[in-house]
Amino acid sequence: MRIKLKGGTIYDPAHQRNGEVGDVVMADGVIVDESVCDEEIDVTDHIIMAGGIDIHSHIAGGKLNIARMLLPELHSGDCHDRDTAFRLGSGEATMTSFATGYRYAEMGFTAAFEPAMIPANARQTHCELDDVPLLDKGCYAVMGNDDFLLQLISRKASQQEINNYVAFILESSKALAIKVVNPGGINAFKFNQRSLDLDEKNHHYDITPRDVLLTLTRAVHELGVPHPLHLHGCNLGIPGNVQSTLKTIDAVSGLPLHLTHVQFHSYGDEGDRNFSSAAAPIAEAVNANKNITIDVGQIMFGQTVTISADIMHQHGARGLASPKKSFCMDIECQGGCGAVPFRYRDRHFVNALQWLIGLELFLLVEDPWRVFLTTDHPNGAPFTCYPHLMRLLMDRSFRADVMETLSPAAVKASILPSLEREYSLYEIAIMTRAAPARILGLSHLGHLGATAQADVAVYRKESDCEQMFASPRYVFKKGQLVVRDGTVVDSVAGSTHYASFALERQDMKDIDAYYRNHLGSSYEEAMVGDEVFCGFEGSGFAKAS
Amino acid sequence: MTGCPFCSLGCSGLPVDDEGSVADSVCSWAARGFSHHGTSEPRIKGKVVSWDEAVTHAAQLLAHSHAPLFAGLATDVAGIKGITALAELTGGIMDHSEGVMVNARVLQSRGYYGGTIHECRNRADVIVVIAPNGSDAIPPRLNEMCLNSAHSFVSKRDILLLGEGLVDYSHAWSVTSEQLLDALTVWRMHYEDQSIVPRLASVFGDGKIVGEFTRVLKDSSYATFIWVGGGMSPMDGEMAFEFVASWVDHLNLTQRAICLPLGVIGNGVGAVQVTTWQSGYPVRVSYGGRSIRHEPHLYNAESLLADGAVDVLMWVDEWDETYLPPKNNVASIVVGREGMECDATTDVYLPCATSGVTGSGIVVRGDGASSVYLKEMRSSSVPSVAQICRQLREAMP
Repeated sequence: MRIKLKGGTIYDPAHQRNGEVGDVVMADGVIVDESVCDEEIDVTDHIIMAGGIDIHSHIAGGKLNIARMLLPELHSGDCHDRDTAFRLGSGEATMTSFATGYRYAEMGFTAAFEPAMIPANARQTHCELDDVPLLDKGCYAVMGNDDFLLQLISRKASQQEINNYVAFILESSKALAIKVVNPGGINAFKFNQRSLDLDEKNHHYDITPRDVLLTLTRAVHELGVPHPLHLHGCNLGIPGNVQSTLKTIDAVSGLPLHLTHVQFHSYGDEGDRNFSSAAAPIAEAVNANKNITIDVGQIMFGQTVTISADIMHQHGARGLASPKKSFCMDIECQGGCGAVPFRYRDRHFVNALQWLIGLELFLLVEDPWRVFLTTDHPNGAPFTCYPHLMRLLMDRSFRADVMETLSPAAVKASILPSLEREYSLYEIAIMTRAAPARILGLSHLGHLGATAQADVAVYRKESDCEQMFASPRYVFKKGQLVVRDGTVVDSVAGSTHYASFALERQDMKDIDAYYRNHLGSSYEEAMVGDEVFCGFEGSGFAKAS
Repeated sequence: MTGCPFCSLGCSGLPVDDEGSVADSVCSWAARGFSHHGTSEPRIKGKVVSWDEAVTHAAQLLAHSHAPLFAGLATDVAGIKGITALAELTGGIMDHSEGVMVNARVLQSRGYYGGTIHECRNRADVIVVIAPNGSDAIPPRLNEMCLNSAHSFVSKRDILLLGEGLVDYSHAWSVTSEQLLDALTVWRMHYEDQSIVPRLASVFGDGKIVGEFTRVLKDSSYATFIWVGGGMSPMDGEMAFEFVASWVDHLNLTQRAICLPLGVIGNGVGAVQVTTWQSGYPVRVSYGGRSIRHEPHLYNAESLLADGAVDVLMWVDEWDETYLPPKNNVASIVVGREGMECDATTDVYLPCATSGVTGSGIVVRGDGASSVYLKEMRSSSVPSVAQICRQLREAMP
């Protein structure tokens, strides 16, 4: 079936198409360069973009599931999708697997990436992702706190040995990229250290977060993993953490590095509340260092639950839990996790300033190819608020209206009221389509050129862009119509992308010995395979190019 | 080596011989589980029938039911996925076992500090094993997997055992399951240098063992509290686990400590995981109303059957052929391991493959953090639970 979308206004930054009127033809799941078709859909006065891509969203895995278990009260109420033929679900902040796929597609998003998969939890995470329909997916494997890696760094193992281990983690856990969370800090917490700055030593292994960061940045670069090291830095959420974030940018000496949810790492400690915005110096450093990309981790007001591998800081945040319960876990000598429910309040100075800092970052970073739209779902807010967030970026007067409702002291402490920039549709298409595909190395996603996967979103032109992005006229997944007028009408499986490496048995000797002695089985037992596709969505693994 | 589904340790490197058997000396529980060779045929009311007849009859029972109950649920991840799809379709209730609910309720009411099997094995310098059911309930390979410090990161490790009849161990405090909560209370009071209230004097005894426990715990840097086996009423179990969770929270203010609940069998933690990511709630979940509902106390299979609140039972156990459904007066479908002896009171019996023995599959380890791939050791002609669920869906009118 060849479908032609005729006469739409096309935003396809990968091909520098900025609002030109034209057609998009889909055949056999891909975009084709021909004009012959079996069915024509008139999309005059509509906007056409590739399907949206979320590069950092906690959509599956152990800690998300623990957060759901911890908070049944956040799932009560009406069940999702009861009146459709689709699978049921529940929850707003920690919505369930099937619902996650449906809600993303309903906004025109067709890919999302789970950014913190602990290798020991990989098989389960993929079993869960198997139940997330309509999205292409992938996971970033968490490293940087596993005892084996820290032992290697501590005994000054060769970079080749480190690279072998990183390749093993990617291949065995079927991960697309490497994520580092609080490098060395989670491990130090297991030895009862309560904080760890970039140049502070993990007492047990006598190495610093800087050592871990440099070793892994280099490994990812040398192995040719498409996505740069994905870093959740030191001192998340701590006033004054701007210093360690700036030092981190400096530390990698030009190697590619992605700093995630930077909003949580852009805090000064000035003012009478010892909490201030440091978005400006961070944005300045990002603008000056072309090797750096960031995603923001915008917060929105309301109830959510924070879930993080950073148990050191989740432990510290337990006192702020609302409602008053939380869960922390040390995991398999590889990492940890913490789930702390939280309610961001617009009249609260700190929360309001967090909201302002996030928007400052979006507006101060000049290059939309290097700043990505995220809320660190569900940590800052559920991903379902993206249309609202896009309006905040695109509509200055709307931004001003919302600021009126916030803690006045926080607004006074922010430069946001003076920022006039408004994102264009083209820039939105860059930051949510073209740039994420490029930074993940997924050349068949995020654009509308020939051979691209036919993941396409069609939006009605409306003056209220929140309304526009919340309810696409059509969404196609692999060329199949899956959403009409903001409602899911069909379910199609996406693929799970991973960075594949051929492992040589002779390189696995030390890893195998460690696995047998410390993790209870040979390394082969840890290799995740197609057994994880055991549901009904029929997805599968795809090797990233 | 293979993965093992027969206790919550979820060993993934269990040694097996060429025939796919496990030596009794390796693990008596696994040896029993892997050696069972039953063969069965589908039955309706005890009479052997064709596979299609059995599936069709079972599908009709489910299709005409107003309130089906899916229980037992001892099956792999794919099997649980198959059952949730059936439960959604028929508006059913799902329950695994009381054991999984104890952990879930403590998590829901206050949360806790958890940890995993190999975090304990490598890092713990003190391990407290709480076994209300005594040593018979302790998985045979607990020592190999968690307690043995031979390949750990620590040079010294103390093991403290607390439970019924544990007299053979060096640091063991033998208390009955009824005394367990009092024993924990006495221990914490002593640890906090509080005076022991008269009511607890008999549990305190001469104070020697309590003193030893306190001394060892005070010397710890990374303490692990392992919880194995039931043996207590659900409410007592919940209170005792909550007590431990609260103490572990407190210990984490100045040192490190974790809870490691390991009592659940039959992939109970897997059932919790799958129903949570699909429905938002751990098992004891109902798809019967407008919304998905979770009732950790009410949706208990035994009481639902006793109260006549359901009209069809589908009972699933692919690993233990002796685990039969509770007494009931409703139409019943049993999907069970080959060799399960269902009598004429069972409306339909469908024998199923056993993941790890006559089929492959995935189970979630008791700590919830990691999953084990179970290989097929020998072939069998019967389908998996997931395949049976699919056949039932397709056969439904």
